[in-house]
Amino acid sequence: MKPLRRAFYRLRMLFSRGRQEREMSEEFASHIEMQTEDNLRLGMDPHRARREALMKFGSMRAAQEGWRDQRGLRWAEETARDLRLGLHALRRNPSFAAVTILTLGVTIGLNLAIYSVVESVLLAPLPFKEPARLVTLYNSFPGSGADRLANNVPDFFLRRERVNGLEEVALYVGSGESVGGGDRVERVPGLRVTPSFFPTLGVEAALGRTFLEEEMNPGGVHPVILTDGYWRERFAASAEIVGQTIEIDGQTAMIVGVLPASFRLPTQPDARLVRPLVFSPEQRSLEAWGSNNDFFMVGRLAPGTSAEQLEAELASLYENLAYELRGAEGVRSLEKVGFRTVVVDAHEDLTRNVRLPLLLLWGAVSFVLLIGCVNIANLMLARSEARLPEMATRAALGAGRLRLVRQILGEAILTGVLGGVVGVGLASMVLPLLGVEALSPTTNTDGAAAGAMALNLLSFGGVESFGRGSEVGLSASVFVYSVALALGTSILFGAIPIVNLFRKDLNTAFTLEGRGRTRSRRAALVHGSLVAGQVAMAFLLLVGAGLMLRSFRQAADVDPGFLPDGVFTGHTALTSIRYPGGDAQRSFYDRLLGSIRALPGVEAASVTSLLPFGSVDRTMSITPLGYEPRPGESLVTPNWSIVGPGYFDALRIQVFEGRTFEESDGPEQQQVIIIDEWLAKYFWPGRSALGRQIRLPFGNATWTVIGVVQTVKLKDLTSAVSDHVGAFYLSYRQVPAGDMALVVRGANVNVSIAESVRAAVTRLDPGVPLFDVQMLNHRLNESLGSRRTPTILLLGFAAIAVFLAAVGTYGVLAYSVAQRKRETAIRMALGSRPADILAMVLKQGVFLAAIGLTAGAIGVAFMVRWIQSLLFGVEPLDPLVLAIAAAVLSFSVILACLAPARRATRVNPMRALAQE
Amino acid sequence: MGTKKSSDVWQGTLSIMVLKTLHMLGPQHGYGLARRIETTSGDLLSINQGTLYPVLLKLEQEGSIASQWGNSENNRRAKFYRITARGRRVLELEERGWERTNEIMARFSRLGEESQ
Repeated sequence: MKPLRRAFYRLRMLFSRGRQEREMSEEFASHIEMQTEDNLRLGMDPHRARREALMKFGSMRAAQEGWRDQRGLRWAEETARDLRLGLHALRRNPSFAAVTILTLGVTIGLNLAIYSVVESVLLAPLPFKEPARLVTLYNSFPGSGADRLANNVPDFFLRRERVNGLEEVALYVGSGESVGGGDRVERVPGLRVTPSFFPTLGVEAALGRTFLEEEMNPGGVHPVILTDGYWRERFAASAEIVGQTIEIDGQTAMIVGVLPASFRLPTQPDARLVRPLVFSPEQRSLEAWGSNNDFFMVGRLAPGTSAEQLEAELASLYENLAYELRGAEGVRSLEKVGFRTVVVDAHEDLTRNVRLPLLLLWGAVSFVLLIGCVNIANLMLARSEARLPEMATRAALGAGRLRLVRQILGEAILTGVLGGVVGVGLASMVLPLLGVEALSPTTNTDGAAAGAMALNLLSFGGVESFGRGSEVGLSASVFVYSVALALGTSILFGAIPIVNLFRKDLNTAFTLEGRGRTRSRRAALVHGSLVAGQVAMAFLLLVGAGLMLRSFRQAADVDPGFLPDGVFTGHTALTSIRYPGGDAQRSFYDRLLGSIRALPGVEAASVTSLLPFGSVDRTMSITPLGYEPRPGESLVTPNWSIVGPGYFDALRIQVFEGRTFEESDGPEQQQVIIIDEWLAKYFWPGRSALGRQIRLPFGNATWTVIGVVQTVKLKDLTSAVSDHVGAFYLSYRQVPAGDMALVVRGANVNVSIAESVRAAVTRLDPGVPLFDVQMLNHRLNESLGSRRTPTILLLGFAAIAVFLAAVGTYGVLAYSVAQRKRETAIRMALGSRPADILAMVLKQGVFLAAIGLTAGAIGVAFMVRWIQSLLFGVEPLDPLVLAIAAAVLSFSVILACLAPARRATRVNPMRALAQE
Repeated sequence: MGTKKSSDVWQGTLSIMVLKTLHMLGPQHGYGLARRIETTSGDLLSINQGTLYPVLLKLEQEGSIASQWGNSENNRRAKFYRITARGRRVLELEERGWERTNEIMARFSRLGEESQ
């Protein structure tokens, strides 16, 4: 036949349904009228004529049904009827409806919340042109313990000019800019980039232009580009902004462009303005290669080039270069440290730290959803069992099994859709709520969009990213996912009762009914395995959450090597215009520290260029005089910082040997250096380091070691000892700097001291900003955010999972007790005591829990391998965690069994048996 | 299942009768068709004339017949059906099929008679 044509016809009919129906009735009526008229002509009386006509036409209903059937509306009508029946069923049993829809709503809502983050961070491509060709590059020196260092300036020029595999490449680095002049200086997070940065990403200015190539050279005007957020906030989105000037770091800068609102850089989401990186000829020269690996690099692969090909090309480039510069010895020294350039897919690199935690959370909420579905499936299964006699009756009266299936499915889909609606509602309500709570005035005022914010959620522990999460919730992908969840789950929990329906000979329902419904074995098995499955999944979640919690506790317990409590910290910045030389900088900090130390309650105060857990990282190579490198040993490049007298006292860093800096270690005195225990042991194991001479890459004079201090953690409490490359300290009185952080200790010092400190700064120079003020222990806490947030979420999910599993157990046992009423009654009549009955039910629960735990344990064995890299200081199969998880779960299950068990003991044998 | 098959046969038979009638007598309304079929087929359609209508709808969906509202000889509004070119082709094919079936059936009956 012509299926297409018929389909089209039916479709048309579907839309003109009302008219078609009317015409059908009219046609039928006219048929009967004509027959009646003929009958009258044959001499019948009017009454009989009409009756005969009707009889001849036959069943009006059958004709209509046949006609409609042919018309093809039957499916749609029956579906509507199924849904109506489903709605009716839900309304008839509101508590059942409430429980199922709420369970589904909460679990789907959780899923959507996590999925919207997963989607924006992991699934959506980076918001740049042809993001698949974007790569990030790192210098790797595995031989000297540095797997991934950033890049240096000569790297940029080499890779840009001599490499074919890169279409374009750029350097960028986060910065802080002092905007404004006089006493109205605002500290603004910024971005410094090479002019090639925007072409590399394929970003064009929304207003004005991006940077010109020559703006990378020293001299000339200072151009600046604003982000959309900063432009709107500070310049009221003025259309005439391009060409205006603002004062940055004491210099006049010209606004040359505004970025589109969509621009965001996931690693620097807070950046408000962008300035070009300016390089002197010395910085660009090949002599400078290898040091100052301070810049992030992003590149665009040439079309058709793979990351591996680029790596190979870079490897030969550097080998040739080393030979060019230092001959065979140069090549050998590169090989010694195992140097190579690592090329990574940009998206993968930017999401490296959050990928696993996010996937873990996604897996967790999926389990929670499954457990919730199992509960609903069990409820529906129980109901369909209870309705078996009804169904059998209907089947006997001619309802096809398909009708019954559709009825169950109609109810399931209705539940699924309603649950989905509740879930979407919950997700979109909860996400912004979390976000608003966590909003802090210093961050999140930017136009930085969802992906970047979502990254913040896990990398910095703030839930502020959720503030944007609600926008993510509107994306098409999230919508499709929620529809898929709603329908998928409803089919899941609809299918189980349906399968059960099909596996039964409905006729037995009559006999069972007649015999008073002894419990159906097969249904018991299905119920039981569903509960065991729930317990298994809940166990998996509990163990995962437990391992994460222990890891977090372990990380929080790590001794950073200093005492972070009661230490106020804040950054200052001196512009090079007002403080052009070392003398001016030194005298500013001399005077500032003098007045801060005089504040009431201050026990110790100092400055540092590298605040622990202040998200800055600086390394410099050092060479002890007369030190004979071991064979194969490469340069040691420890962290370094410029501090002031009193620094080690303010942070309570232990001094193992010698002394710390003093005011007298001035510019004219002997150059002194303090090293940490790690360096001392590395260079002079078993001997004193005091008095040793050390050479640094700048200046000619050597530095004398005057002290050895405790090794401290600088940015990550969970970093392994092997990651540590030592640290050394210089004094600002000998090496002045303009960007110092203040550290102020006092017994009762808290953030409120910021006002007094700010006043002290302003008294000296109102143009110097004090920013990023925080207590030091708060910074440490923040650094644990990437562990805390997933851990808290996972614990919450595990708790929900356990609760749902307990509810599921309760439901199944309560049902089973109701079904076994007769058996219980007989047992009691035969002399069983209530305690025996109680034990019987409890045994059933414990049995289910045991099977579930066993299955869960097998799952755990698979899971731990996968999450191992997220753990810290805890064995993947930590016996304590396993034991506690098993105990919590068993306890919950037994608790859930108690109520049904006690109900079983209260069965009145006489009454129960009399009911038969 | 069994009833469905026989109703299919019934529908098929009725379809051919409808097409044949329309082919021989020209446009007819439903009642007229029912009367004609009743007279030519004996008692086959003397009851349950209503079952004709799903068949008419099916034929119309396939494009074998077309319908139009008009006035009957007694000036009563009725829906008139006429056979289309496509319907004639279908009729021809069906008739040929039936003839062949009849032939074969006849041969089988003869076979039975001969063997007796």
